[in-house]
Amino acid sequence: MPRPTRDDEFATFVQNHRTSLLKFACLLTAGDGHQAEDLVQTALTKVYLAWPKLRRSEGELAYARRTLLNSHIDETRRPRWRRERSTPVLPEVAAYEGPDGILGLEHGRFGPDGQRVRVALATLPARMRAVVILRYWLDLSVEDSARMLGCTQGTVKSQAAKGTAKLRDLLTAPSLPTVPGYQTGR
Amino acid sequence: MDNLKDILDSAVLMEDAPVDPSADLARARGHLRRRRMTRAGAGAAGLVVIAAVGGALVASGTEKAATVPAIASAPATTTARTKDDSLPAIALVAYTGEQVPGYQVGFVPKGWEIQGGSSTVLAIAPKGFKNQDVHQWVGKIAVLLESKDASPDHEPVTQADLEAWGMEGENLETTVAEVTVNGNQAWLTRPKTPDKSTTVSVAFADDKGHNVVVQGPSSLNWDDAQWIKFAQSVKVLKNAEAGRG
Repeated sequence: MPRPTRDDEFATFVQNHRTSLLKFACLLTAGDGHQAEDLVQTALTKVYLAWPKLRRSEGELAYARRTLLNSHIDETRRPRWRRERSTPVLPEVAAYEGPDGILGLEHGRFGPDGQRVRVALATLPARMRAVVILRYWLDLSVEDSARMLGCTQGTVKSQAAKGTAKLRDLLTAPSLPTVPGYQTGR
Repeated sequence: MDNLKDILDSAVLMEDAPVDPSADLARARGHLRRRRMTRAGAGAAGLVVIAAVGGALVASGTEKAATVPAIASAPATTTARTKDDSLPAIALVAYTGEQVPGYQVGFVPKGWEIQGGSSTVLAIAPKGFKNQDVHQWVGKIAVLLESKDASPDHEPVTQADLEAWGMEGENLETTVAEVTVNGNQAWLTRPKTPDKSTTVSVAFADDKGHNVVVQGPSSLNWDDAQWIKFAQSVKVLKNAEAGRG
Protein backbone atom coordinates (compact mmCIF):
# COMPACT_ATOMS: atom_id res chain seq x y z
CA MET A 1 0.00 0.00 0.00
CA PRO A 2 1.52 3.32 -1.03
CA ARG A 3 2.51 5.68 1.79
CA PRO A 4 0.00 8.51 2.21
CA THR A 5 1.22 11.87 0.96
CA ARG A 6 1.30 15.10 2.92
CA ASP A 7 -1.84 16.15 1.02
CA ASP A 8 -3.71 12.98 1.95
CA GLU A 9 -2.77 13.27 5.60
CA PHE A 10 -3.55 16.98 5.73
CA ALA A 11 -6.96 16.43 4.13
CA THR A 12 -7.76 13.79 6.75
CA PHE A 13 -6.60 16.17 9.49
CA VAL A 14 -8.89 18.91 8.19
CA GLN A 15 -11.85 16.57 8.00
CA ASN A 16 -11.29 15.36 11.55
CA HIS A 17 -10.43 18.63 13.27
CA ARG A 18 -11.66 21.65 11.34
CA THR A 19 -14.97 21.89 13.18
CA SER A 20 -13.36 21.73 16.61
CA LEU A 21 -10.79 24.34 15.55
CA LEU A 22 -13.59 26.57 14.31
CA LYS A 23 -15.41 26.21 17.63
CA PHE A 24 -12.18 27.05 19.46
CA ALA A 25 -11.73 30.13 17.30
CA CYS A 26 -15.38 31.15 17.76
CA LEU A 27 -15.00 31.02 21.53
CA LEU A 28 -11.78 33.02 21.41
CA THR A 29 -13.46 35.68 19.27
CA ALA A 30 -16.64 35.55 21.39
CA GLY A 31 -18.73 34.48 18.42
CA ASP A 32 -17.21 36.49 15.54
CA GLY A 33 -17.64 33.87 12.83
CA HIS A 34 -15.76 35.78 10.14
CA GLN A 35 -12.71 36.36 12.29
CA ALA A 36 -12.87 32.79 13.54
CA GLU A 37 -12.86 31.48 9.97
CA ASP A 38 -9.83 33.67 9.16
CA LEU A 39 -7.99 32.30 12.18
CA VAL A 40 -8.75 28.71 11.21
CA GLN A 41 -7.66 29.21 7.60
CA THR A 42 -4.37 30.78 8.70
CA ALA A 43 -3.71 28.05 11.26
CA LEU A 44 -4.43 25.25 8.78
CA THR A 45 -2.07 26.78 6.23
CA LYS A 46 0.69 26.94 8.83
CA VAL A 47 0.00 23.33 9.81
CA TYR A 48 0.40 22.26 6.19
CA LEU A 49 3.64 24.18 5.74
CA ALA A 50 5.09 22.69 8.92
CA TRP A 51 3.68 19.19 8.33
CA PRO A 52 6.94 17.18 8.06
CA LYS A 53 8.31 18.81 11.22
CA LEU A 54 5.10 18.39 13.22
CA ARG A 55 4.92 14.65 12.77
CA ARG A 56 8.05 14.38 14.88
CA SER A 57 7.29 17.00 17.50
CA GLU A 58 4.23 18.38 19.26
CA GLY A 59 1.60 17.05 16.87
CA GLU A 60 -0.54 18.74 14.32
CA LEU A 61 -3.58 19.51 16.50
CA ALA A 62 -1.57 21.07 19.33
CA TYR A 63 0.35 23.15 16.79
CA ALA A 64 -2.86 24.25 15.06
CA ARG A 65 -4.40 25.35 18.36
CA ARG A 66 -1.23 27.18 19.38
CA THR A 67 -0.85 29.10 16.13
CA LEU A 68 -4.55 29.92 16.11
CA LEU A 69 -4.33 31.25 19.66
CA ASN A 70 -1.20 33.28 18.89
CA SER A 71 -2.80 34.80 15.78
CA HIS A 72 -5.85 35.75 17.83
CA ILE A 73 -3.79 37.36 20.60
CA ASP A 74 -1.75 39.26 17.98
CA GLU A 75 -4.96 40.42 16.33
CA THR A 76 -6.34 41.75 19.61
CA ARG A 77 -3.21 43.87 20.06
CA ARG A 78 -3.74 45.69 16.78
CA PRO A 79 -5.19 49.23 16.86
CA ARG A 80 -8.94 49.20 17.40
CA TRP A 81 -9.78 50.76 14.03
CA ARG A 82 -8.39 47.66 12.33
CA ARG A 83 -10.66 45.47 14.42
CA GLU A 84 -13.84 47.45 13.78
CA ARG A 85 -14.69 45.21 10.85
CA SER A 86 -14.55 42.11 13.03
CA THR A 87 -17.15 43.05 15.65
CA PRO A 88 -19.27 39.96 16.33
CA VAL A 89 -22.52 40.75 14.55
CA LEU A 90 -24.73 37.91 13.46
CA PRO A 91 -25.45 38.05 9.74
CA GLU A 92 -28.96 38.21 8.29
CA VAL A 93 -29.39 34.58 7.32
CA ALA A 94 -32.24 32.14 7.31
CA ALA A 95 -33.06 30.46 10.63
CA TYR A 96 -34.65 27.13 11.38
CA GLU A 97 -35.84 25.44 14.52
CA GLY A 98 -34.10 22.18 15.24
CA PRO A 99 -35.47 19.20 17.21
CA ASP A 100 -34.42 20.73 20.54
CA GLY A 101 -35.94 24.10 19.83
CA ILE A 102 -32.57 25.57 18.96
CA LEU A 103 -32.64 28.17 16.28
CA GLY A 104 -29.97 26.97 13.92
CA LEU A 105 -28.87 29.47 11.34
CA GLU A 106 -27.43 28.70 7.93
CA HIS A 107 -23.83 27.52 7.83
CA GLY A 108 -24.27 26.05 11.27
CA ARG A 109 -24.47 29.28 13.19
CA PHE A 110 -25.56 29.71 16.75
CA GLY A 111 -28.73 29.62 18.85
CA PRO A 112 -30.11 32.17 21.39
CA ASP A 113 -28.80 30.48 24.58
CA GLY A 114 -25.33 30.60 23.18
CA GLN A 115 -25.76 34.29 22.43
CA ARG A 116 -25.90 35.10 26.13
CA VAL A 117 -22.66 33.20 26.71
CA ARG A 118 -20.97 34.83 23.73
CA VAL A 119 -21.85 38.30 25.01
CA ALA A 120 -20.52 37.36 28.45
CA LEU A 121 -17.29 36.07 26.89
CA ALA A 122 -16.94 39.29 24.92
CA THR A 123 -16.77 41.25 28.15
CA LEU A 124 -13.63 39.41 29.24
CA PRO A 125 -10.23 40.74 28.15
CA ALA A 126 -8.82 38.59 25.35
CA ARG A 127 -6.20 36.78 27.43
CA MET A 128 -8.58 36.14 30.31
CA ARG A 129 -11.08 34.74 27.82
CA ALA A 130 -8.36 32.55 26.35
CA VAL A 131 -7.42 31.21 29.79
CA VAL A 132 -11.03 30.28 30.55
CA ILE A 133 -11.38 28.54 27.21
CA LEU A 134 -8.11 26.62 27.49
CA ARG A 135 -8.80 25.52 31.07
CA TYR A 136 -12.50 24.75 30.90
CA TRP A 137 -13.34 24.04 27.29
CA LEU A 138 -10.15 22.38 26.12
CA ASP A 139 -9.63 21.03 29.62
CA LEU A 140 -5.91 21.78 29.58
CA SER A 141 -3.92 21.68 32.79
CA VAL A 142 -2.63 24.89 34.37
CA GLU A 143 0.84 23.95 33.19
CA ASP A 144 -0.21 23.32 29.57
CA SER A 145 -2.32 26.47 29.51
CA ALA A 146 0.61 28.53 30.75
CA ARG A 147 2.86 27.02 28.12
CA MET A 148 0.40 27.76 25.33
CA LEU A 149 -0.07 31.33 26.44
CA GLY A 150 3.55 31.96 27.29
CA CYS A 151 2.76 33.10 30.83
CA THR A 152 3.26 31.80 34.36
CA GLN A 153 1.06 29.23 36.04
CA GLY A 154 0.19 31.83 38.66
CA THR A 155 -1.18 34.09 35.93
CA VAL A 156 -3.28 31.25 34.54
CA LYS A 157 -4.75 30.50 37.97
CA SER A 158 -5.59 34.12 38.78
CA GLN A 159 -7.00 34.83 35.30
CA ALA A 160 -9.07 31.66 35.41
CA ALA A 161 -10.48 32.57 38.81
CA LYS A 162 -11.32 36.13 37.75
CA GLY A 163 -12.74 34.99 34.42
CA THR A 164 -15.04 32.36 35.84
CA ALA A 165 -16.22 34.72 38.58
CA LYS A 166 -17.08 37.36 36.02
CA LEU A 167 -18.87 34.87 33.79
CA ARG A 168 -20.88 33.60 36.76
CA ASP A 169 -21.99 37.11 37.63
CA LEU A 170 -22.95 37.91 34.05
CA LEU A 171 -24.74 34.67 33.27
CA THR A 172 -26.83 34.82 36.44
CA ALA A 173 -27.68 38.50 35.98
CA PRO A 174 -31.22 39.35 34.82
CA SER A 175 -30.05 41.21 31.71
CA LEU A 176 -27.13 41.16 29.34
CA PRO A 177 -24.46 43.81 29.54
CA THR A 178 -23.86 46.20 26.68
CA VAL A 179 -20.63 45.43 24.89
CA PRO A 180 -19.35 48.14 22.53
CA GLY A 181 -19.63 46.98 18.93
CA TYR A 182 -21.60 43.84 19.83
CA GLN A 183 -25.25 43.58 18.82
CA THR A 184 -27.42 41.70 21.29
CA GLY A 185 -30.95 40.36 21.26
CA ARG A 186 -30.74 38.79 17.79
CA MET B 1 -20.03 27.33 37.99
CA ASP B 2 -22.04 24.29 36.95
CA ASN B 3 -20.30 22.58 34.11
CA LEU B 4 -18.62 25.49 32.40
CA LYS B 5 -17.68 23.23 29.50
CA ASP B 6 -21.36 22.67 28.68
CA ILE B 7 -22.01 26.39 28.98
CA LEU B 8 -19.15 27.20 26.61
CA ASP B 9 -20.28 24.41 24.27
CA SER B 10 -23.67 26.07 24.03
CA ALA B 11 -21.95 29.19 22.69
CA VAL B 12 -20.62 27.31 19.68
CA LEU B 13 -23.38 24.82 19.02
CA MET B 14 -23.08 23.91 15.37
CA GLU B 15 -24.52 21.36 13.03
CA ASP B 16 -22.32 18.39 12.43
CA ALA B 17 -21.72 18.51 8.72
CA PRO B 18 -19.13 16.77 6.56
CA VAL B 19 -16.04 18.93 6.06
CA ASP B 20 -14.65 19.40 2.56
CA PRO B 21 -10.88 19.91 2.92
CA SER B 22 -10.28 20.96 -0.69
CA ALA B 23 -10.34 24.73 -0.14
CA ASP B 24 -7.93 24.56 2.80
CA LEU B 25 -5.66 22.22 0.86
CA ALA B 26 -5.62 24.45 -2.21
CA ARG B 27 -4.86 27.50 -0.09
CA ALA B 28 -2.03 25.76 1.77
CA ARG B 29 -0.50 24.34 -1.43
CA GLY B 30 -0.55 27.83 -2.92
CA HIS B 31 1.43 29.17 0.04
CA LEU B 32 3.94 26.32 -0.22
CA ARG B 33 4.37 26.91 -3.93
CA ARG B 34 5.03 30.63 -3.44
CA ARG B 35 7.49 29.95 -0.64
CA ARG B 36 9.46 27.45 -2.71
CA MET B 37 9.60 29.83 -5.66
CA THR B 38 11.00 32.55 -3.43
CA ARG B 39 13.53 30.21 -1.85
CA ALA B 40 14.65 28.78 -5.17
CA GLY B 41 15.14 32.16 -6.75
CA ALA B 42 16.89 33.64 -3.76
CA GLY B 43 19.23 30.68 -3.34
CA ALA B 44 20.45 31.09 -6.91
CA ALA B 45 21.19 34.76 -6.27
CA GLY B 46 23.28 34.00 -3.19
CA LEU B 47 20.61 35.23 -0.81
CA VAL B 48 19.06 33.52 2.18
CA VAL B 49 15.33 33.25 2.57
CA ILE B 50 14.05 33.60 6.08
CA ALA B 51 10.52 32.34 6.49
CA ALA B 52 8.60 34.67 8.72
CA VAL B 53 5.03 34.70 9.96
CA GLY B 54 2.66 35.26 7.11
CA GLY B 55 5.16 34.85 4.31
CA ALA B 56 8.74 34.59 3.22
CA LEU B 57 11.25 37.38 3.49
CA VAL B 58 14.29 37.44 1.30
CA ALA B 59 16.90 38.57 3.79
CA SER B 60 19.68 40.54 2.21
CA GLY B 61 20.50 42.96 4.95
CA THR B 62 17.61 45.20 5.73
CA GLU B 63 16.09 45.15 2.26
CA LYS B 64 12.91 43.26 1.68
CA ALA B 65 12.78 41.80 -1.82
CA ALA B 66 9.35 42.40 -3.25
CA THR B 67 9.89 39.97 -6.09
CA VAL B 68 11.98 36.91 -6.72
CA PRO B 69 15.42 38.10 -7.81
CA ALA B 70 16.36 37.80 -11.50
CA ILE B 71 18.12 34.52 -12.07
CA ALA B 72 20.92 34.06 -14.56
CA SER B 73 20.16 31.09 -16.79
CA ALA B 74 22.39 28.11 -16.29
CA PRO B 75 22.74 25.33 -18.80
CA ALA B 76 20.75 22.27 -17.83
CA THR B 77 22.80 19.18 -17.14
CA THR B 78 21.77 15.59 -17.08
CA THR B 79 24.11 14.48 -14.30
CA ALA B 80 22.97 15.10 -10.74
CA ARG B 81 25.95 15.79 -8.50
CA THR B 82 26.08 16.93 -4.90
CA LYS B 83 29.58 18.41 -5.15
CA ASP B 84 32.23 18.85 -7.82
CA ASP B 85 34.70 16.03 -7.11
CA SER B 86 37.17 17.47 -9.64
CA LEU B 87 37.85 20.45 -7.35
CA PRO B 88 39.50 20.28 -3.94
CA ALA B 89 37.48 21.22 -0.91
CA ILE B 90 38.60 24.37 0.86
CA ALA B 91 39.98 23.21 4.19
CA LEU B 92 38.09 24.01 7.36
CA VAL B 93 40.43 25.50 9.95
CA ALA B 94 39.99 26.54 13.56
CA TYR B 95 39.14 30.23 13.90
CA THR B 96 41.17 32.08 16.50
CA GLY B 97 40.51 35.66 15.44
CA GLU B 98 38.19 38.26 16.82
CA GLN B 99 34.56 37.30 17.14
CA VAL B 100 31.68 39.74 16.66
CA PRO B 101 28.42 40.29 18.56
CA GLY B 102 25.52 38.04 17.68
CA TYR B 103 27.21 34.83 16.59
CA GLN B 104 30.46 32.99 17.11
CA VAL B 105 32.05 30.27 15.01
CA GLY B 106 34.77 27.79 15.78
CA PHE B 107 35.91 27.20 12.20
CA VAL B 108 36.26 29.11 8.95
CA PRO B 109 37.47 28.07 5.49
CA LYS B 110 41.24 28.42 5.15
CA GLY B 111 42.11 31.91 3.94
CA TRP B 112 38.74 33.29 5.00
CA GLU B 113 37.88 35.67 7.82
CA ILE B 114 34.88 36.94 9.74
CA GLN B 115 34.03 39.97 7.66
CA GLY B 116 31.69 41.33 10.30
CA GLY B 117 28.22 41.01 11.59
CA SER B 118 25.35 42.35 13.60
CA SER B 119 22.63 40.97 15.82
CA THR B 120 20.95 39.53 12.74
CA VAL B 121 23.80 38.05 10.70
CA LEU B 122 27.42 36.90 10.64
CA ALA B 123 29.30 37.15 7.32
CA ILE B 124 32.44 35.14 6.56
CA ALA B 125 34.37 35.81 3.35
CA PRO B 126 37.80 35.29 1.77
CA LYS B 127 40.36 37.73 3.17
CA GLY B 128 40.37 40.90 1.12
CA PHE B 129 37.01 40.07 -0.49
CA LYS B 130 35.89 43.01 -2.60
CA ASN B 131 32.33 43.19 -1.30
CA GLN B 132 32.70 44.25 2.31
CA ASP B 133 28.97 44.66 2.93
CA VAL B 134 28.12 42.13 5.66
CA HIS B 135 24.50 42.11 4.51
CA GLN B 136 25.34 40.83 1.04
CA TRP B 137 26.30 37.21 0.89
CA VAL B 138 27.13 36.20 -2.68
CA GLY B 139 30.35 34.21 -2.44
CA LYS B 140 30.26 34.31 1.36
CA ILE B 141 29.07 32.22 4.28
CA ALA B 142 26.14 33.71 6.18
CA VAL B 143 24.90 32.66 9.61
CA LEU B 144 21.53 33.88 10.78
CA LEU B 145 18.26 33.03 12.55
CA GLU B 146 14.84 32.14 11.28
CA SER B 147 11.79 33.48 13.10
CA LYS B 148 10.59 31.11 15.79
CA ASP B 149 7.10 31.36 14.34
CA ALA B 150 8.31 30.36 10.93
CA SER B 151 7.32 27.04 9.42
CA PRO B 152 10.43 26.11 7.50
CA ASP B 153 9.95 23.99 4.48
CA HIS B 154 12.71 21.41 4.13
CA GLU B 155 11.38 19.82 0.97
CA PRO B 156 13.68 19.71 -2.05
CA VAL B 157 12.95 21.76 -5.15
CA THR B 158 12.16 19.31 -7.94
CA GLN B 159 11.82 19.45 -11.69
CA ALA B 160 8.06 19.25 -11.21
CA ASP B 161 8.22 22.38 -9.05
CA LEU B 162 10.22 24.24 -11.70
CA GLU B 163 7.71 23.23 -14.37
CA ALA B 164 4.83 24.39 -12.16
CA TRP B 165 6.56 27.75 -11.72
CA GLY B 166 7.50 28.13 -15.39
CA MET B 167 11.19 27.97 -14.48
CA GLU B 168 12.26 24.90 -16.42
CA GLY B 169 15.93 25.03 -17.36
CA GLU B 170 16.89 27.07 -14.30
CA ASN B 171 19.53 25.44 -12.12
CA LEU B 172 17.37 25.43 -9.00
CA GLU B 173 16.75 21.79 -8.24
CA THR B 174 17.93 20.78 -4.78
CA THR B 175 18.35 17.72 -2.65
CA VAL B 176 17.68 17.74 1.08
CA ALA B 177 19.30 15.37 3.53
CA GLU B 178 18.28 15.04 7.15
CA VAL B 179 21.38 15.23 9.33
CA THR B 180 22.22 15.87 12.97
CA VAL B 181 23.88 19.00 14.36
CA ASN B 182 24.91 18.76 18.03
CA GLY B 183 22.37 15.99 18.49
CA ASN B 184 19.53 18.04 17.01
CA GLN B 185 17.64 17.39 13.81
CA ALA B 186 18.93 19.40 10.87
CA TRP B 187 18.49 19.63 7.12
CA LEU B 188 21.31 20.00 4.62
CA THR B 189 20.16 21.40 1.28
CA ARG B 190 22.39 21.10 -1.76
CA PRO B 191 21.94 22.09 -5.39
CA LYS B 192 21.43 19.10 -7.61
CA THR B 193 23.87 20.63 -10.09
CA PRO B 194 26.39 22.83 -8.29
CA ASP B 195 27.94 25.73 -10.14
CA LYS B 196 29.37 29.14 -9.26
CA SER B 197 25.91 30.53 -8.51
CA THR B 198 24.60 27.79 -6.24
CA THR B 199 24.67 27.57 -2.46
CA VAL B 200 24.50 24.93 0.23
CA SER B 201 22.61 25.50 3.46
CA VAL B 202 22.20 23.80 6.80
CA ALA B 203 19.12 24.56 8.90
CA PHE B 204 18.97 23.41 12.49
CA ALA B 205 17.70 24.25 15.96
CA ASP B 206 20.27 24.79 18.68
CA ASP B 207 19.83 23.77 22.31
CA LYS B 208 18.26 27.14 23.15
CA GLY B 209 15.55 26.75 20.52
CA HIS B 210 17.03 29.16 17.97
CA ASN B 211 16.33 28.16 14.35
CA VAL B 212 19.75 28.72 12.78
CA VAL B 213 20.61 28.79 9.08
CA VAL B 214 24.14 28.68 7.71
CA GLN B 215 24.57 29.14 3.98
CA GLY B 216 27.62 29.23 1.77
CA PRO B 217 28.74 28.83 -1.82
CA SER B 218 28.86 25.36 -3.36
CA SER B 219 32.40 26.21 -4.51
CA LEU B 220 33.64 25.51 -0.96
CA ASN B 221 33.17 21.91 -2.09
CA TRP B 222 32.59 20.70 1.47
CA ASP B 223 31.15 17.28 2.09
CA ASP B 224 28.33 16.77 4.58
CA ALA B 225 30.73 16.15 7.46
CA GLN B 226 32.46 19.48 6.87
CA TRP B 227 29.21 21.41 6.69
CA ILE B 228 28.04 19.74 9.89
CA LYS B 229 31.37 20.45 11.59
CA PHE B 230 31.03 24.12 10.71
CA ALA B 231 27.37 24.27 11.78
CA GLN B 232 28.18 22.58 15.08
CA SER B 233 30.75 25.27 15.84
CA VAL B 234 28.15 28.06 15.56
CA LYS B 235 27.16 29.66 18.83
CA VAL B 236 24.20 32.02 18.94
CA LEU B 237 24.75 34.78 21.46
CA LYS B 238 22.18 36.53 23.64
CA ASN B 239 21.81 39.59 21.45
CA ALA B 240 21.17 37.63 18.24
CA GLU B 241 17.78 38.14 16.64
CA ALA B 242 15.97 37.03 13.52
CA GLY B 243 16.19 39.54 10.70
CA ARG B 244 13.06 41.26 9.40
CA GLY B 245 12.38 42.89 6.08
